[in-house]
Amino acid sequence: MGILLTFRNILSDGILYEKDEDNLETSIINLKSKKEWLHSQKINDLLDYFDALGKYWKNNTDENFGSNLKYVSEFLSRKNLVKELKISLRGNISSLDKFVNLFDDNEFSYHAQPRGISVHWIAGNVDVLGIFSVIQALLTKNLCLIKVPNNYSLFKNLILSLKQVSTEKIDGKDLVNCITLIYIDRNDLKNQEILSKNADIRIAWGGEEAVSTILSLKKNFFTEDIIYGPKYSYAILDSEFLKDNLKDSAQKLALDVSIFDQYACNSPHTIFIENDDPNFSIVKKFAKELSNSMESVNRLMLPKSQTSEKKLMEILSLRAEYDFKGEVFASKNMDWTVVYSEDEGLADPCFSRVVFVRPIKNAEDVGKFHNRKIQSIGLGISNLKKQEKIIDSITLSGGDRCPSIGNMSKFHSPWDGIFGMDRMVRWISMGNKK
Amino acid sequence: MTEIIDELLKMEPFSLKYLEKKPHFMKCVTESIQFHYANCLDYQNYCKKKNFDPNKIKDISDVPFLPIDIFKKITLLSVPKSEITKIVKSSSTTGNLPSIIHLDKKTVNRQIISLNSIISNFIGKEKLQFIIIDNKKTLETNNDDLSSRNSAIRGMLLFAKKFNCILDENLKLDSEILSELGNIKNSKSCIFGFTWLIHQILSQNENNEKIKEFFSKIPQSFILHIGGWKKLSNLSISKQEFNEKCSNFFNTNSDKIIDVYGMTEQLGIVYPDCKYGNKHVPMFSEILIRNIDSLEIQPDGKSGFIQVISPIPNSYPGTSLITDDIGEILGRDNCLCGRKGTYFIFKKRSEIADPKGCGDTIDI
Repeated sequence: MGILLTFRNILSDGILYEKDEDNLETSIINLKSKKEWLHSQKINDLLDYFDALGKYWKNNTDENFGSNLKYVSEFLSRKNLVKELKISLRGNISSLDKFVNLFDDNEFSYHAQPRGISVHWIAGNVDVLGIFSVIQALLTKNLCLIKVPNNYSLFKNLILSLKQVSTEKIDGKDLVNCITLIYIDRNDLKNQEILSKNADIRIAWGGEEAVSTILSLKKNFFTEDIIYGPKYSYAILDSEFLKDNLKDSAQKLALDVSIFDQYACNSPHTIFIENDDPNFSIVKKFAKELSNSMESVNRLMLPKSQTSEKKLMEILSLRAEYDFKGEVFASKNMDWTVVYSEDEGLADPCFSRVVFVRPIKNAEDVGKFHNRKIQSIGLGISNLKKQEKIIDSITLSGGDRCPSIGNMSKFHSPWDGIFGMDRMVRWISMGNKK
Repeated sequence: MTEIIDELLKMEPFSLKYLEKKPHFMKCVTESIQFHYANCLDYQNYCKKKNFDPNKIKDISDVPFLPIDIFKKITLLSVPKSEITKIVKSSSTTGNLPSIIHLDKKTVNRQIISLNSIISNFIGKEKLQFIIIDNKKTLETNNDDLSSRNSAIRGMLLFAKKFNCILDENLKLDSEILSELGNIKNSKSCIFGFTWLIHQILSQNENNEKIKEFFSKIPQSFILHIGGWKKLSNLSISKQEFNEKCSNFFNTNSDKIIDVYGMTEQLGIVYPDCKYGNKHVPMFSEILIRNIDSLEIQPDGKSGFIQVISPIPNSYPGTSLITDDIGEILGRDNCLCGRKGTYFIFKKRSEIADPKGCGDTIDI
């Protein structure tokens, strides 16, 4: 007798199960049966639905939904989603419903078909980020099979809440049927492989180890891979900009650092201040100001999550190290740490709200530390022309997005260099000449 | 010139009650801290950043602590380099740096006296036949540059009239050596090794009757094991299970199995288990338990990070160190074994795991 492979069926067919089952294939076949329904929905009706969902989440940001939901709600506004779709679908969102003309010559018309089943591997620390890829998959009419992390309650609550929202054309209960949530142990490679083989799109949010494992799983020849992570982010400001924006910059960056406790790919770990003062006085002043803001954000807006003893000791050790070779501004407990030092380059990430402030003579010099692992570069540069020159120079070898400081966690396309929804569709062309 | 610590080292390690010991210990700690403050500029700057004045110490909890792994990152010396006679390295896992501790003659002497005093309180003053669960090559490293296993074994040889290392170069039991050890059958003996290595040997030889027979002829040995449980954490073996296995394999009573807590960063000070399973703090050190988040001192009975304080280090400012071990003070002066002073136990770490996600780059 073969060994039965169990997995945890959390949610399927809109019903919350949360029980161990032994046939993942059956769940997948069941999910596939919703393909026609989803395909028949009109993009404008889906947009209305997600706009309503965003409003619902905005008004219900509580313990069940977590405090990081603000950006998702903004993302779901109709106006924003239309922009996101247009930029990904060559300017015509109706291409999701029918054949449309994309060029004046009318030689061909084009239709963006869903790829089919999107399988999402969601990272434990940034489940809210995972929601972005699920929404994009649904908007492009792909079914969603989601492998949640073991602490999945927030994610489950968010998906279940879809049932609470209905619009004129779409009942959330029907849309939830297009989503299956499962939990599989990371070492259960057999079930992971079943997921992978059934995926038309594999979307992985995760660290280096997790993503490598997913990429090593067998997949179908035509499966599209969308990899989000593992990435490192940082910020660059110049002293000219700080002259007028010291406090504001500190507040914005404190938010960027604190969201997701710095475990997300878009969280900054190092803040470079371009500066030619040999005493670095404005850099030190900024580090102090940032520490004030870190305290306020932690106290008033985003209290830090529980941290392991191992991480707390790592922070303690790092603070002591920089007490010897730099300057440390830190909370009385272990909630946040700002480290000022004159070291060169990108600081090794410690995570858990530990941010390094470093002076740099010429912002373009950061480019020499760039590679494809760099994701977001938060900007506070005084002059737009200068900013463009810096970014053009440093992103040649890496770096995917350069938002203004304060917006580093605001999801938009492209993300990790990818227009996600473009990769979630298959473009069909139809000749118009008889 | 005799320092106060030298007087303290002459005392029996568990002879004074906590409150009787306190004033003597405070004087030693103050003397030690003032010495390091005056002789290690980096340490002085560190103290200044913590607004700490070594002339105003009211309680040992006032003394700033250094995280134990600071010696992995920074070299701190309170004596001229020319006075360093030994360099000891802690064990380290792959990818991690070891702590590097620079020792002068004075520190080494204090360590020897302290270790002698503490261990003989547990196994007696009579020298024993030592069976070392290690390979003899571990002892052959350059004398000035010692690994943690090397220095721990060397420390224990103070109590040995003879010793034999019984593992081969692959750290497996060497049956040839064992067969040559027939003459130790009637000697009082002590088996000594690192906890993870003993566990490895136990697991590999569970069904090895020949070896069991060998140990059946040397009954009631002491078993001293050191090095902690971190390397065994993946195996989730409890201390009780380990003791039972040891007791059966080595043919001795479980109250003769002594788990010794100590660290390279404060060599010479060890905290052995008494037969009631409690770790005892000797005269030459004290421990504090700090809340893992606020770092405030925890009351007895509450767990937190273990802070170890000892005036023994002279060549480096290692007087007050905070470890990543979690412990709990069970009481003072009233352990049933009769030893006075503070006693404590280790506690398991919480199950909280750090998130791993899309920001988790292995290197940048």
